[in-house]
Amino acid sequence: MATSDALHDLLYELSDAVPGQIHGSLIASRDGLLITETLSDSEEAERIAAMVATTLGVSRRMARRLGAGVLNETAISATERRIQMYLIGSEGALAVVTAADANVALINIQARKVVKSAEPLLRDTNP
Amino acid sequence: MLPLKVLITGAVGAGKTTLVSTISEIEPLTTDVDSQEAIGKNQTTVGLDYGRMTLKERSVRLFGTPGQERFDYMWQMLGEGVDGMIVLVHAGHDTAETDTEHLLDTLRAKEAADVPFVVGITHSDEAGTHPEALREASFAQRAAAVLTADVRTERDGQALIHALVDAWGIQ
Ligand SMILES: Nc1nc2c(ncn2[C@@H]2O[C@H](COP(=O)(O)OP(=O)(O)O)[C@@H](O)[C@H]2O)c(=O)[nH]1
Ligand SMILES: [Mg+2]
Repeated sequence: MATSDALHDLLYELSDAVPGQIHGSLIASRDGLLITETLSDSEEAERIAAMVATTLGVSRRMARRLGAGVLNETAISATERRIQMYLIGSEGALAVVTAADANVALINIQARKVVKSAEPLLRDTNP
Repeated sequence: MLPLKVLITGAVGAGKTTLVSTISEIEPLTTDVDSQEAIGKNQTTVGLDYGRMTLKERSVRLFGTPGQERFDYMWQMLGEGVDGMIVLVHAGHDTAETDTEHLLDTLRAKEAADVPFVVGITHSDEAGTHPEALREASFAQRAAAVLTADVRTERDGQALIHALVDAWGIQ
């Protein structure tokens, strides 16, 4: 199975693990190239992938400047949706769009599983 | 006096991140990560470069942009309220002219770029580059000054920012 298919499956497993709370997700490279996505608006996915890279890049630097340690995640909370973003190793990024009132703790647990499974797959595509 | 805001922009690999670190008086903030694309170098900017310097007793804030089109929202965000721009152009890139025109068009469409700018033609020391041809480009005609610059050097970095000071007419 191609790596991007395997990563795509991980995104589906994620939404199945938290039924009804996830509106879509994507995996991108750290420099903002889209790898795979399940967003409802696929046309936006490439631009969102670049924005995820910017958001995580700036978040990581802010954490470092404030002596806050290593970045775990970045979240955007808006009236209609939440967007949770995570680094995948040194290569990738995961963004998950959820309901505004989603169970964040549960989503964090499931998203970290995706991060763990995706990391070796991404490393293999970028030798 | 309000601090001046300078946007340092141009296509990928032109030397924006390098210029900010060359002329900044504080340790610059960078957001470079490993590049997965072949862009002629290992790292690429995904957010911004930030530095600060003092010129004629005024504080100048320096904002470097990412180069790739997929980050064009950052060009617009960082371009808000700028007083001037340094546009870097890689002398060895075949698409340097069209890429630079496009970038300036995008900024102008948002009314961010109706400010004086100077052009720095970089990498002209490398073999097979054609810095002179770029001086004829239409963006170069609109520039307040066009300099060839090795932005790794303090001297050329300062020359660019001082060309902008001349364009502003600050005494
Ligand atoms: N030979 C040469 N190298 C340069 C010159 N200007 C910049 N560089 C190098 O080109 C690369 C430019 O990278 P960077 O500053 O990240 O470019 P950015 O994408 O515009 O931010 C760095 O490795 C610099 O050291 C130049 O005039 N001549
Ligand atoms: Mg850069």
